[in-house]
Amino acid sequence: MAANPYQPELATVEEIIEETPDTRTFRAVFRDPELRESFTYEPGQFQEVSVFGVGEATFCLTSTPTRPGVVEFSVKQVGQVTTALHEMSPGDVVGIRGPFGNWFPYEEWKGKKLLFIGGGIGMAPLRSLLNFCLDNRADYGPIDLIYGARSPQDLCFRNEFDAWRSAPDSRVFLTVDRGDETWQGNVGFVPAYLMDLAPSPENTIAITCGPPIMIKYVLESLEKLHFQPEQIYTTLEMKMKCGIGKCGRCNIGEKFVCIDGPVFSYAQLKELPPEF
Amino acid sequence: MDKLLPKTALKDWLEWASTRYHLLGPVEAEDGSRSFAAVSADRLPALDNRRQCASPKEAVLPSCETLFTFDPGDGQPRLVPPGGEFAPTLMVGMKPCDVRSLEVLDRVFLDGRFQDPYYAGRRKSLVTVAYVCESKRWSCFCSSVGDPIEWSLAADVALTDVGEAYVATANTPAGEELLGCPAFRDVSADELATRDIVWNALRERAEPFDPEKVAAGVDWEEPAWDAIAEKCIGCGVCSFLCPTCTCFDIQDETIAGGKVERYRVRDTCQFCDFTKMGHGHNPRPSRRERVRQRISHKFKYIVHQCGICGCVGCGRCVELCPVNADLRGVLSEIVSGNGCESVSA
Ligand SMILES: Cc1cc2nc3c(=O)[nH]c(=O)nc-3n(C[C@H](O)[C@H](O)[C@H](O)COP(=O)(O)OP(=O)(O)OC[C@H]3O[C@@H](n4cnc5c(N)ncnc54)[C@H](O)[C@@H]3O)c2cc1C
Ligand code: SF4
Ligand code: SF4
Ligand code: FES
Repeated sequence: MAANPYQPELATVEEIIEETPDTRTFRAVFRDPELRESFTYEPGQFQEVSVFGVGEATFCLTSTPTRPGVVEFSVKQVGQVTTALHEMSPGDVVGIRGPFGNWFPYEEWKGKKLLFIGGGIGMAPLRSLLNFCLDNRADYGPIDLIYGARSPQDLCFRNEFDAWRSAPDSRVFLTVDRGDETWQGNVGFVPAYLMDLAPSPENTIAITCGPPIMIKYVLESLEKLHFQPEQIYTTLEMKMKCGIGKCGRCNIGEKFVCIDGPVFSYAQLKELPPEF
Repeated sequence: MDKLLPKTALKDWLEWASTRYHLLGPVEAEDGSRSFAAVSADRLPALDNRRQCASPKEAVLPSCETLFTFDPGDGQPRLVPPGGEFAPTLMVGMKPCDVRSLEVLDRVFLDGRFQDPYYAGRRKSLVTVAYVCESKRWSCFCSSVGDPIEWSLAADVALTDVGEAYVATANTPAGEELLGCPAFRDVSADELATRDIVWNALRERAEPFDPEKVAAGVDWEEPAWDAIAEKCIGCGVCSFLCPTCTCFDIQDETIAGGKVERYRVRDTCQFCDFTKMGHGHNPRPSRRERVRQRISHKFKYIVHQCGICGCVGCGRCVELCPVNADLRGVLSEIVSGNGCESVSA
């Protein structure tokens, strides 16, 4: 981490992958070869990405530190910076500050069964952890992924589904709100599909991220399935600017999402005031 | 170390100090408003209990500052840090609450996992001289939230008005050096006794807003939030002028030659889009939540995060709010609502 936490490092966009009509994944490499080698982070952390002249925006690192040399972030187009990113081409320069925030306590989860529950772009932080765990496959029990989006075209990371499915002792369950003529998977909302699949909470950690409304119902469903709040993890989103606990923007009560989060257990969420 | 500075010798002291420091102090603008600006032997700082409108945070956390410049180069882009060293600066005539406010800012910007290099640069070049107010203004409530004398004694030097002279109390090596100026005389026991009378008067508290009591009483569903939110017009004056409000935004501006200046600029949690997110959701959608955030932050969250109360009782927000949303009224309600000793103004 540079001495000046406000100063980004320059990186070149190497590849842009069109995930869905409104989401693209950027593969970027630092221009400083030494940093390219030394840069590391943890699954669940985020970074501030600069488009110089437009501004900065917060994205979680969707790549895994087990595959170093390149950083990846997936961007849904919603406003100024995300639009400017979508207008970029390979070879363009961005700034990257980070990594910031806490991460998934994967060390504590060794030997456990992992249940990933993602919705839409919320798959981005989960993908980092999922690939991290698959790269350390022996450390974990069976891995299940339930992933949903509005339509088949809105599912991110489609070119990785096969790799996830064929990894040892892992399963992928896909669902969409509305199918089309080619869709063969489940049709329905993620929380409902979760109830249908009814995974056992035994020795399991559930990790979820997605639109706020999905997270809300997934948490309720998991409780109905007798998951304890300590067994459930999610990552929160608040408006951020500095990423380092100074600009005063991202607090929920006494916690700054940028330094105390973004990863929280459901047990911790229950302690926070209801302002997210 | 205590010394005596005859009021007529203030000039000489500043003259002497100006060879080592850039001098700042309270001065009046043409429109009568007061702020910290350059002072000298010819333009003396105003030493009295009238508060400057802008707070000392302007000297360490300017309302707008460049973080770096992006130079696209010719295929060789690079970042250029802002130029310039920070000149050693002596800030003369800070109120006790002003001195305390720097302590609050220090905890935010110098402590914790990340240090703020811009703040640190300015702060480390700052030497402070407090002026212990001869009396409180109507809007002041420093002694309700802490001990203003203890706060003044955190300044490098504290000046107390004892009539024809100031008793100067040095609290640090830099302060003792400042008292080495020949303008100072030895102080008598009588003069020290007079100083103590001034100190004790300032310590007297009108209403008790002990930060612990307020923190314990601040309730998520506090009815006081509705009362203040009904009046508040969300102008943000209270936080822009508050010496301990630190929120900022980060923005880019393209300047000559395609270069880009990344700057930070003061912002406030009182503005409606402060927490509005990309997908349109806003966790603090109305004034009620935003007022609750500001007051809970000052008296509760920051105590947890930094171990210090975020309000120094300077009264700026009380005096300058255009709709007279008096913070003290809210605090009274919070403290009494919690069953603490009832508050009589
Ligand atoms: C920890 C964390 C991780 C994240 N990870 C990801 C990720 O992996 N992928 C991802 O895509 N996103 C992620 N986000 C969200 C992402 O940070 C935001 O979508 C992004 O910052 C939006 O930036 P923008 O400049 O494009 O939008 P902005 O230009 O800031 O605009 C956002 C929205 O705000 C509104 N708006 C803007 N200006 C105004 C105005 N003046 N008045 C009123 N309304 C206005 C508009 O509705 C606009 O759509 C994450 C956020 C956090 C906090
Ligand atoms: S100064 Fe008064 S009106 Fe303006 S935001 Fe503060 S409380 Fe509201
Ligand atoms: S909240 Fe009001 S009284 Fe307290 S320090 Fe800020 S401006 Fe001064
Ligand atoms: S993003 Fe600035 S405090 Fe969290």
